[in-house]
Amino acid sequence: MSEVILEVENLKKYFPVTNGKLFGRTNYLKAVNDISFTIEKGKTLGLIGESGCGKSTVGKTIIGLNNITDGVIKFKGKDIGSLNNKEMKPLRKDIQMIFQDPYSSLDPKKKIGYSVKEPLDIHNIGEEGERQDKARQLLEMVGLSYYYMNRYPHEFSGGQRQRINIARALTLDPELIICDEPTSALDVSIQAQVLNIFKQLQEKFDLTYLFISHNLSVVKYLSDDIAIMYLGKIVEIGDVKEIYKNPLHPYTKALFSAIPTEDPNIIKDRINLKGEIPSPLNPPSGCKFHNRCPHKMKVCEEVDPNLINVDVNHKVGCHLYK
Amino acid sequence: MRMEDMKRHDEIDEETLLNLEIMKKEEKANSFIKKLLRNKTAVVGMIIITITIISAIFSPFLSTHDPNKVNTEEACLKPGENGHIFGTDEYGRDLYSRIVYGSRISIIVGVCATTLGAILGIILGIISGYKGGITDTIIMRFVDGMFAFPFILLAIVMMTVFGSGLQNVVLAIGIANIPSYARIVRGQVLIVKKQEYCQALIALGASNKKIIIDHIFPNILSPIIVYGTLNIAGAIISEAALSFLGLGIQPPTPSWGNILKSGKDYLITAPHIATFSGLAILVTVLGFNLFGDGVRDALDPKLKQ
Amino acid sequence: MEEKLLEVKDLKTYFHTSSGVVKAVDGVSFSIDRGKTLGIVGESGSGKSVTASTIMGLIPSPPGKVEGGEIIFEGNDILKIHKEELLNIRGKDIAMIFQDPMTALNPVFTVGYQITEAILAHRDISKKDAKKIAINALEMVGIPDAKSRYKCYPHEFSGGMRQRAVIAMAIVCDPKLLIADEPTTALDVTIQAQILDLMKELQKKLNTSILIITHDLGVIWEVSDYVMVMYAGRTVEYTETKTLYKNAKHPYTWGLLDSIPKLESDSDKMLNTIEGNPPDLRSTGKGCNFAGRCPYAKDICKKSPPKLVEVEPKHFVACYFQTEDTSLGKGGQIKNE
Repeated sequence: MSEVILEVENLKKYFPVTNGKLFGRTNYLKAVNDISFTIEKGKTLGLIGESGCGKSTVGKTIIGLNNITDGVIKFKGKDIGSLNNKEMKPLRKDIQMIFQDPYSSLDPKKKIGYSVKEPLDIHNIGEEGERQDKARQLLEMVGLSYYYMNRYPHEFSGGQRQRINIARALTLDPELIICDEPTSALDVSIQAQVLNIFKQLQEKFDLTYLFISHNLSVVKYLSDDIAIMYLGKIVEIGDVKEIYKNPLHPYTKALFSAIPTEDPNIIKDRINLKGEIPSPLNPPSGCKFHNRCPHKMKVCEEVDPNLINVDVNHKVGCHLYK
Repeated sequence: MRMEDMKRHDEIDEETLLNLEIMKKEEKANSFIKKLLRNKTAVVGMIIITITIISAIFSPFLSTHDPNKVNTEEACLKPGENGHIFGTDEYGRDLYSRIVYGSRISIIVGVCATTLGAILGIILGIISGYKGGITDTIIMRFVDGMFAFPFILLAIVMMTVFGSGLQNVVLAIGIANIPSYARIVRGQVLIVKKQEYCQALIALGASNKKIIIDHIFPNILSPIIVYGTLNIAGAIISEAALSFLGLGIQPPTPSWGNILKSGKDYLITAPHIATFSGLAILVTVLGFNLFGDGVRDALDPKLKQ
Repeated sequence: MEEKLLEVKDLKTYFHTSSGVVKAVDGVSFSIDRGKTLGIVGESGSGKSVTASTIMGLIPSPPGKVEGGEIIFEGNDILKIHKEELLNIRGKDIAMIFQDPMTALNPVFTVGYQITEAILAHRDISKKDAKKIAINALEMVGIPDAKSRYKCYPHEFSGGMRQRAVIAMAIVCDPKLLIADEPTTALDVTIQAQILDLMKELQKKLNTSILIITHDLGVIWEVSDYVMVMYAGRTVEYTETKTLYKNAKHPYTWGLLDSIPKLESDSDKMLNTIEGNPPDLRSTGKGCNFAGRCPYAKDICKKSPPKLVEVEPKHFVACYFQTEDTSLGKGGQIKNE
């Protein structure tokens, strides 16, 4: 077994929500509610879920944009949740993030060459000339001529900007890259180009990805393992091929069946879920999925199921499997 | 280095070359100056402002008489009489020369008060928006308090305590402008701070100083410049109002406000005194407003409503 | 032969901007039969939304201008008929569903009020009857407890519910044609599945024709009978959905089909991609717009634009290889069986 690079144990992230009145009661939005997973070096974990399930919060919490409410995040064995800003800084080099929106993730007033080399400025690595060289090489690597170094972000298309973002994320030679829906704003033909870049870079530099997305086909293309999130919890996690062949959790099944068909000649048998995702401010008791679940039992309303092993690398959190 | 296996392509391909050319062309067509010059009303504003500034700088050369020379024999002459282009005031001083010199006060007050208000407001706004939390609450409540405080009352208090004079007029108007800048800047900072590039910088471990100076400030500058240009017009009016009330620039120093004030008493017998000083204020303020609108359209088409 | 409800012939919509003429739609032709669904698929900037806006008369002018072509709806060219008549067609006979359900509804009025207004604008009936129809429509689109939901404001609805309300508003006047511009893009997959099912069900019930615009081929496979592929303002291929899947003929369509990661396929292989970026719409029109990215492009492709030709019954392609020189083989490049 290879080295575990990221270990998340019982991570919780609650956001306080006031009801608008001056001394009103504070509610907690349980964006991430007790999730655990590990990623091995050089592998990709895909995190899938619908909007509002807390998948982006997981990424932002790992990279340190949110404080941890409870739980442990270990990067290469070090607990990064307990570090202060100064202790954290050297570790920040090793974890990078690529954001969803290619339009707001580059400073519109800075030339792209500057944006790409800036991480080196912040961490004070190398001389100015070396920094420029590295930025140039990185841009070439993601398929952009370095002649564009002195242009501004607004002159580029979404796909090109996402390439620039990838280049910037690679500037510090990170080991783990958190990708938060990096292709969801792109057209399919451009998405394919960007996905290929992700794959090539992973092979080249032995990168580890946490790939957050709502698009199952994209996640499946890149991931070794996938985790399916629903209302702040992981409901199923394991090997991507295994889960795809044999989805167990009723939500996973419904999610898979909702994906539009890939062949107009095959009409999919669809599991239609009742209703919509409940508000994370006021989640249902017991299993979070019980009010939409076609296989609801009495126990589901009362007890929140734990993840249990059903196979070597396949866990599911559902009372149907004991 | 890890990417030593990368080949350096020194030849540039055709598509890149074409794209670069298009980019350069577009950059030229969309440059700030080009856009501003395409806007006719902005050009009119610019001409008015240029004339005002020239008359402020070169007042001694442009004026025909000593603006403060009293000549009771020539009091209240009509425009054009005895070589006085705009006529004379109640003390027989040349009105044209006084208005030319008055432009100095207007420009100084307009620019200085705006700059003062902008600098203090930007600092407060950035701290408030960037820090958030309790700091934000305190600063914003303080700003709310300043908003609620009547400007005229503030000016009266300041003039009474420190005495009237150019310096204190600038100070009073500048301070009165702080809250609006603080508000605008705070709102902009909140928007920029949420952008993913700022989030990325925080995740990279960049210092607050770097984020604010290198990234937030350049991105909030456009609305400040737009508001500032329009604000100069407001400051000029404020100065005129203060001087009109006798709180601002004290006679005999000529200012458009106090010329208007003295003209008010002779509205029937010598209407030209109030008319010309009033027109000077009107045209200058209009100039700054037109220019400000033009700057807004050129800098940020999204702000146009 | 089926009856054509809408026929668009060589439509051209240009935008005159300070930096040049943007040829957003530059030669689009298709037709929709009664009760059928046509999907327009293309990437951003391909002109698919502008095509829909042109049919609805929603092009802001200036800078937009229809430069040529015909839009024949029930035998009349709606680009030529009188404005007042047009108001009757648009909104009543042709209704539109927008991408973002949040902005399609006015936040300061109740959902019910907005639907009732839409009915009263086109029909001469009492308010009471209009309300009945509105509640009926809300029920039809699957909004539970329609009577009390009638009084709700848009923000009290979730995203999926809002899109249902927008659909209800579109169908209250029994439109003959429903134009849906990316109706599910803003929604999650499970909600998207619900909305697509709803649209199919409504079509069966009301016998409406649907023009659905999307960038997602999956949506096309799900709902449409015919599909038109657009690239840089032009129709590149137009045929039956199943034919396109099995036997696509345009190199761009091949690239598009191949660049979608498939759940079924082996993920160890790299995706086949279309190299490069779409062209600037101000400099298109000289040759085939796809020539710059086409791996098979020849000299002629860059010189004059290929015409849309019916190469097989009901299969139109605009590509020199399929019309003049068949050396590329018919469907020889297709990877999916």
